[in-house]
Amino acid sequence: MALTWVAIATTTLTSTAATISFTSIPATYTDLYLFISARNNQGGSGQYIRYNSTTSGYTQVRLITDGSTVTSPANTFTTENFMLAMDSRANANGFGVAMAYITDYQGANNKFTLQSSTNPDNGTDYNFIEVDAAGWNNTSAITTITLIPETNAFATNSTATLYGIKNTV
Amino acid sequence: MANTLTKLVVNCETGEQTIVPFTAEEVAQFEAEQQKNAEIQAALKAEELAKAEVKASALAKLAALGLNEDEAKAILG
Repeated sequence: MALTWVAIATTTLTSTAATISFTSIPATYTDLYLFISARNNQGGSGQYIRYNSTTSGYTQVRLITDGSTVTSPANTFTTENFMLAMDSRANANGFGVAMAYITDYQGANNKFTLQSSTNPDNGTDYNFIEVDAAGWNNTSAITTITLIPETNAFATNSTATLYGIKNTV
Repeated sequence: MANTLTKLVVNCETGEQTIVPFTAEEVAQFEAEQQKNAEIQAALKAEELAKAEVKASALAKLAALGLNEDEAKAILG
């Protein structure tokens, strides 16, 4: 079987936005893939993913490195899962890159996600790579995905694309 | 916050993209959540700094015992 990837929806911000939401996600795929190029417009080196507007049930194992030291912060984000985005204090016009592979998003099981993200900014304090195994302990189908910046809002020209993945014979 | 907070909603069924201002209730919830997450981030950073200080202290003590930096780091991982 071959995997078919379909771009379900994509957006590029023409002004700042405090959240980006993909709603009415069709149940016609097996997995979802989210690709984000984002920058905070006011401090902050991260962003959060929330499913179905639900603010509970999230777990996350994180590995973060700045290229020399690897840390594995405690899993303390219970309201949503964390990924990196470019910090507005760093690298003017730079955007962080993040991706999330969400398995079995419409199945009646808990949801699992592999996340990776980076905000490359040589020579500053805002230069990390992060890899996460994230979970959402909820058996509902995911129909809405909301991206939330760590601080204030996403900057203009941030982009997000949601792909659907399915097996085809 | 001085700026009006807005949310971009992308309807995957219709393709329609809408920019919607936050309601007062949503602003309050958003600010409370960001405050909480900022506190979590600050706590994590403090924890990492504390660990780094302990590691530096351990490296210094191992160096005093005659281990070079590579040997000390091999022990600490």
